[in-house]
Amino acid sequence: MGLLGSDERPRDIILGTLDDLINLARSRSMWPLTFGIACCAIEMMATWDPKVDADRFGMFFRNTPRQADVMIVSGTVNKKLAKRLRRLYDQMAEPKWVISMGACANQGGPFRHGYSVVEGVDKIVPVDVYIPGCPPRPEALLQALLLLRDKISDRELRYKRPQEIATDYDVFAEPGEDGRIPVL
Amino acid sequence: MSLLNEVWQAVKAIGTGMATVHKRVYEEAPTEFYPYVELDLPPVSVQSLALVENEDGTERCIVCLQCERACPSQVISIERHRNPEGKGFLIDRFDIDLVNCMYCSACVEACPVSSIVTIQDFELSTYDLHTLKADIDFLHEQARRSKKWYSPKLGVEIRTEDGRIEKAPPEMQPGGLAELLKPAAEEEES
Amino acid sequence: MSLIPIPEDRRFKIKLIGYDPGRSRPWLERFVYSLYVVAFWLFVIATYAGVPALFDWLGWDGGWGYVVMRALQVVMLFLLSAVIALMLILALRKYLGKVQERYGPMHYGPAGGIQTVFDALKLLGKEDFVPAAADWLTFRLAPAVTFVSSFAIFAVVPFASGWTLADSNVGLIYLIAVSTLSAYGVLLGGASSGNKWALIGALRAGAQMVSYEVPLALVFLSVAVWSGSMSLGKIVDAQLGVWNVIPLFIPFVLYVISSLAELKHIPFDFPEAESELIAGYNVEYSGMSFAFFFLAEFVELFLLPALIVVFFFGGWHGPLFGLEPGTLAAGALQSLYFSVKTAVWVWIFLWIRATLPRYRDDQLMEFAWKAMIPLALLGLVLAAYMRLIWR
Repeated sequence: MGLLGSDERPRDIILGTLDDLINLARSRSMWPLTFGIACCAIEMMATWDPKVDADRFGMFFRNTPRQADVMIVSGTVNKKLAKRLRRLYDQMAEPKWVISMGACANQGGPFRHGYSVVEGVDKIVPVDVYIPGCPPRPEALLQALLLLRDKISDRELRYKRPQEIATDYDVFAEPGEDGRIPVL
Repeated sequence: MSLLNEVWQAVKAIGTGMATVHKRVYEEAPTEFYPYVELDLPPVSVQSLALVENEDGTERCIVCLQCERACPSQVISIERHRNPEGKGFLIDRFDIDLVNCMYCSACVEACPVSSIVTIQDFELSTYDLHTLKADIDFLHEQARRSKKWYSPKLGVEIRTEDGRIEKAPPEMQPGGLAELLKPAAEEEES
Repeated sequence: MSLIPIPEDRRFKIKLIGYDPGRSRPWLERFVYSLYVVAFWLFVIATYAGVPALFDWLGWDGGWGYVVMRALQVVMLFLLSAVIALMLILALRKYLGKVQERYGPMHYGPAGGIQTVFDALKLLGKEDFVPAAADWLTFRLAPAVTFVSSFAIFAVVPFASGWTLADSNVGLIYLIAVSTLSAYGVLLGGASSGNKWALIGALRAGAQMVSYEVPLALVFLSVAVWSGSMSLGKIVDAQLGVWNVIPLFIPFVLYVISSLAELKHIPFDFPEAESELIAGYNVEYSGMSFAFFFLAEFVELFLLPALIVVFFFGGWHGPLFGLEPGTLAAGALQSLYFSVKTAVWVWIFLWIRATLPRYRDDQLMEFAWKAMIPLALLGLVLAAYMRLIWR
């Protein structure tokens, strides 16, 4: 039937409902990774302050990538950091999501012509939600987190728009013999 | 006795700290409840860009390319041709790359006719980056949807309910009430 | 004309589900969280009165029936510990939120009431990862050892008169043995992870927990000397007139401090000091393995305050209003007294956690060996002396 190849999964009764329950739980308890890079990180911290308080939606920072669900890339990613960022992403346990915060993380922003800057973090890790802004407001980050929540728990969004795994690794060194990027 | 005194000081300090912490429990939190309550941002808050049309639907922009020259991150690209029926230019293409834009509003300051303005709509997060490569329709749509916008030359403008564009009352202008109250206060002093 | 399609409406759509959550509801919060306490209380009653009554009614109260009954009680206690962990994690997050002038979890469930259920379900569905550098068997066993050593304390905790799994006459020795075991779980987990942070965290945990076991054992000894028994039930019985906190004030203070260290709570959270060692000994754990460390921590956060109540605050004692001790109603009332006293102490522990900063590592060890152990010995001598004089 070609079910494996299609993005649309059949809505069976038992597994479908269990799927929905687990995804509901996943979308309602997204723990971001404490990973601030540049000035957007200040706004990221402000998202958890009393005025905005993302903890209302059950999100709090975990320090270790193994226990985190969401990586918020908040700032300029240069080529030296790209390896570490990819490594942190690889260390996160499945399922995991990435939010690209601010112009620099989206496509390099004002620094995109620089020799050392990665033009968009989606060249290194698959990104789920992009936030424009330089830097975005804390509420904009909260809106992105809520969009990600809807993406995880909403069946239509989940299956119509599968994650595109980035394969464009040529922003840094060539892959090693096993095809993976050498990590320092 | 100095040891006992130190212990007493430590106990007193911990007690004071814990009492201070406990008082916080009864204070009201300043949380805004963002997605459930609409935010009212000040008009000079630069969250996004828009291109304003006149009331009759004609273009306010005169395609002078000042904004393209002013842009420090070079995200504005404009193509134009000479108007065959009159003076001035007509727009072929007006693109702003809102992804790479750093919202410095240098273009807004450079615009001589206050066509390109800043708006306070920050809810631009998206699953797909291509939706942020704004063309002229997108920028018009941004202006049509927003109720108020700001440019340094004309100040805050509002769109009334019957579709007309008006200059906002002074209390809505940046520093409006303060500016209004300042002369009165000075007069009282003198 | 436009090549790029403009999305219909990019704005975030608010889906209102029945009520407007745009403001806080203190009374709804109080109602929902008191439901949790009621659920806990009913669970205790069902475990210690319901299960024996059921087996009595079935006529299976001898031989193998007794074994099955005890096993069922253990299963009920396991479920109870899950309820306690869900409740206390939520309480911690709400309380820290209140102290920091914000609201904690509040949008999922009434007043955020089922937030931790979502957390648990998510951890259940998360990848359980074993690093290549880790020692597989030890890495897998460590969370189980930590959880079991915390959970085993339940066996001797008396919730009401006669409401305990095993009112052993060596209860205190059992407590020392079991609570020392939890240091093993942390040590093994950290050392087998193959990670520098985890190893440093485990070494700190080992040093800290072994050091603080010594004053803890001396405090247990003072309590045993004063009460004349090592059975927790008899210790509570001996406090009918005056609670132990008055004669044994020095051991009481030492017990609070060293149980904070035993809990790995602020100001003694060295094994998982976030700013120094990313997450300490559980840095490589994900999914359910991590959840078991979490569960163990919060079960201990219930059990160590419960032991404070047993040793120093009269356990289940309280006015019975003429009820006959030993009946179901009296047991329920006694377990309510016990739960309320424990809840107060849990709150004090959370309060301390919300207030104090972290110690320095050498200060911690110095404090244990140079201040607490001499004081504990002094407390022991005083307890023995008072026992000679007054009893």
